[in-house]
Amino acid sequence: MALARWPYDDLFRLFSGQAGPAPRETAGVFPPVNLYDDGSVFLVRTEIPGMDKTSIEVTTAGDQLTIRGERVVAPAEPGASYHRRECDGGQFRRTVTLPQPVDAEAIEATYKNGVLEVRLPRVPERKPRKIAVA
Amino acid sequence: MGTQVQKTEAGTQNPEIQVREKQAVTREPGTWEGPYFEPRVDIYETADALTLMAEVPGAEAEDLQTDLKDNLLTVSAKVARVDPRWKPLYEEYSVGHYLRQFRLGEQIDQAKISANLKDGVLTLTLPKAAAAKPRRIKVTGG
Repeated sequence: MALARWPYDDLFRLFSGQAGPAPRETAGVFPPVNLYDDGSVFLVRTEIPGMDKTSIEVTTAGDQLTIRGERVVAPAEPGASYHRRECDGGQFRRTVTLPQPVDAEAIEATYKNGVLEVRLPRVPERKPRKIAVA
Repeated sequence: MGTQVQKTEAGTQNPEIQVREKQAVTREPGTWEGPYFEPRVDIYETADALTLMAEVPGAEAEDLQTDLKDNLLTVSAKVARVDPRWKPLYEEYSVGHYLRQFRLGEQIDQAKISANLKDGVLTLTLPKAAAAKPRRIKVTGG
């Protein structure tokens, strides 16, 4: 299963003010993702070059974001001989869990220069409200 | 011992893509600030040309540089950093520039090299110089 959870230990360190350089590790599932935060929006960024934009599927359910697709590497013309072959084709499916609830209606995804960016606004915090007693 | 065979789920037509970490460039430092990585490439050859496809996600067309000198092909691409207003919470990959060099065994017609960037993939077409193209030599009997 391509399910990965954010390391809450690291988030804890971050929020407790002990954040050093962000951890670099891979969940072992393609594509590797980076998660950023600007205070009101989460940004999930992943490098998947050579994709047909229409074949990238981005879905959310609750606090989970799933990116799936298939990368097709066009074969060389007949008669060509390969010197190097390092670019992978195939299917992928990656699910990430966001640290806080997001507004599903306001999520935006863009694909440019082989980089997929998904912006997920947080659910606006409910302000404390004083209720008048009638 | 035998080689490791990657198992794929039965019934799937295409294999799942495996994660491969970016290879940091450790040789000589580039002139752009920040880390460099080696782009993954496919290179194939036909009778007329060499074609190189390099994965350079995040690079803009105007930030690509290709240079061919004495059969040494250098491909580099500058990649903009993520805007610092985005604070990283979790990072599985590093963002950096790309640099890779190849020693070409063929004579290339420099003037006819063409480059195309699409969706983070750079395609370089390197036509062979006339002298390097295969020629059929007629064998005459004595």
